[in-house]
Amino acid sequence: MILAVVGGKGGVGKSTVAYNLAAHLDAVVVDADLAMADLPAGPESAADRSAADPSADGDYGNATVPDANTAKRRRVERRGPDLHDVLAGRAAPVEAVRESGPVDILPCGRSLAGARACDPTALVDAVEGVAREYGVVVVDCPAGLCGDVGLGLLVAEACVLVTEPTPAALGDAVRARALARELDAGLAAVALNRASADAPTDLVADRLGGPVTVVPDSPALADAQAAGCPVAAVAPGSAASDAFAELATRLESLLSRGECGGGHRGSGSRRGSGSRGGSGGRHGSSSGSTGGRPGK
Amino acid sequence: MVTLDWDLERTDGVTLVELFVAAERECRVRIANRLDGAVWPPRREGRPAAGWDGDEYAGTVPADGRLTVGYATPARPADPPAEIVSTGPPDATVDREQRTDGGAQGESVAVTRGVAPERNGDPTPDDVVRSLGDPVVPRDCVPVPDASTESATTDGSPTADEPATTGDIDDCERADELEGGPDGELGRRRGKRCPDGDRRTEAPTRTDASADAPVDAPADGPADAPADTSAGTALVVPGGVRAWLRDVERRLDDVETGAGRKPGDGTHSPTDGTRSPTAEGRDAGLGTAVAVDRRALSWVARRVERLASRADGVR
Repeated sequence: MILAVVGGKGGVGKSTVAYNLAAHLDAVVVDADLAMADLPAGPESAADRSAADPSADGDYGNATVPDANTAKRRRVERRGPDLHDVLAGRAAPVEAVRESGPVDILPCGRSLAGARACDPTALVDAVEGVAREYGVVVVDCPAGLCGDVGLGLLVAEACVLVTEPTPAALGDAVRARALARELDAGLAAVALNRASADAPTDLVADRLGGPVTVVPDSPALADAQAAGCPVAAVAPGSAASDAFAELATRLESLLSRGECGGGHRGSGSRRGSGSRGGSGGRHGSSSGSTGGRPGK
Repeated sequence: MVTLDWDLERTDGVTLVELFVAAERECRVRIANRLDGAVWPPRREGRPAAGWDGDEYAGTVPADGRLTVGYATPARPADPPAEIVSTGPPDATVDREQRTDGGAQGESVAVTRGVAPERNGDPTPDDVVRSLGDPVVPRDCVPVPDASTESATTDGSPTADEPATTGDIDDCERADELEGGPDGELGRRRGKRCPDGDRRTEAPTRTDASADAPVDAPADGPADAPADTSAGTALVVPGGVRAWLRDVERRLDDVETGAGRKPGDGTHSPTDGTRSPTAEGRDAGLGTAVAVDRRALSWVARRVERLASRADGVR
């Protein structure tokens, strides 16, 4: 299954939702924001990690939270290919996936020169390649409604819409929703970020046409993201952690019912061909169903 | 009965081809270029417009029986410039909407259908880019190393011996490829600015930036070139001029090495050793660009000479 996390407006928390969702779904998160990557890249390997920071034990899930400076230093001192290399044809997609962090990630390079040297359309094959190997992929799309967002939605079988309870964010969410519909990425869920318990979830669900999960504003969540950890590892049982768990459960139930397309698309059977082969990686379901996609 | 008429115009080494397809009823046609040169189709957001596939165009003649198609080529005019290679009944699912723009984004996003019928009318990545916009970072966004900070960071940089395979350095080298030509091949290393503010320099053999040299300095001068290639002199040359000279130098490098490769076009495959027709088309384009450069350089050289003598006169 390939999920795209979109939102239209910048700063609504797409990357945070994508990262934490991937943690709960045991998925690979792809940082598809080619020019403004902001997902924690994670160290590439144990050897590189110890070289970069001898004190690091790498077990972030064990309540050992690296501070933001450590995480940044690791990002700077990282090694290995990233999405820029993949999209420029210098590395295979699976090669660039880093498994040694708390969440498997295909990180993106941080230089504009690297972003410029990319062929953005190669994202489609790259993500499909990762999905073949890993099963579930969460694509963290950039803000806006430009071609890069469209490519993320094109490769995805379903999307998670991230928005905030503000007029600007909701307006952009409606536009992103429309784009997702055009590109056949059904709306699997809406994450209403930084919302209070009395947020008008019913109204948002009605306008966007998908189930809404409220993600409360949480300092723990911000700290965890800055440190390069999912909030469930830092503050298990917190409201934010529970919200992502609920979101993940919702998506998993869609996945188990085959309503998100059931596995990645095989090459040569690009969408809509009537047989979404679920060859299944670690998590892929074996559904061949194309009907009943959510939010269509 | 489908007929093809055309109009050819040759200007600045480029032939503009206008094709007029006339049919009695709505039908689908496939047209192939017959001129001896690369086809430069119209582009939308950097991608060939819908309907173009290499040097062939496929489209539907609408009910009014008239379809116009245009493209450019470096080839000389000849008759016929193109031929209709196949016709057929209109396909309702294919290229019904060859929109020229995405319109208002959102509800009316036009995701044009794939050109090739075998795609089942599904949008392709190119369709998405054509409709929604090219997400490639604009060239002007890529930081250009400037001489003042280069010389300051070439001394005692803690990362001076860092291997060139490091990700960020690799990225920065691409910035050099983009902005200053294949410096690595010439043994020139410059300080590089990474967007995260980290500056690295590796094994500098000289501290000036010959690509940033002033107008009157030899672009590829020896390492011990005189003072006019110093960083201080380079600073007085406006960035736009230096950027233009770098572009010219890069194109000349491409021609001289025969690579014809444009690192910045975002579509090349550096590991691909084979020459594609697209690459040949770029070569032709490169030749034209260099011819334009030659005229421009010559004009600028004369102008610089006149202005320099006037400037000397008022000293």
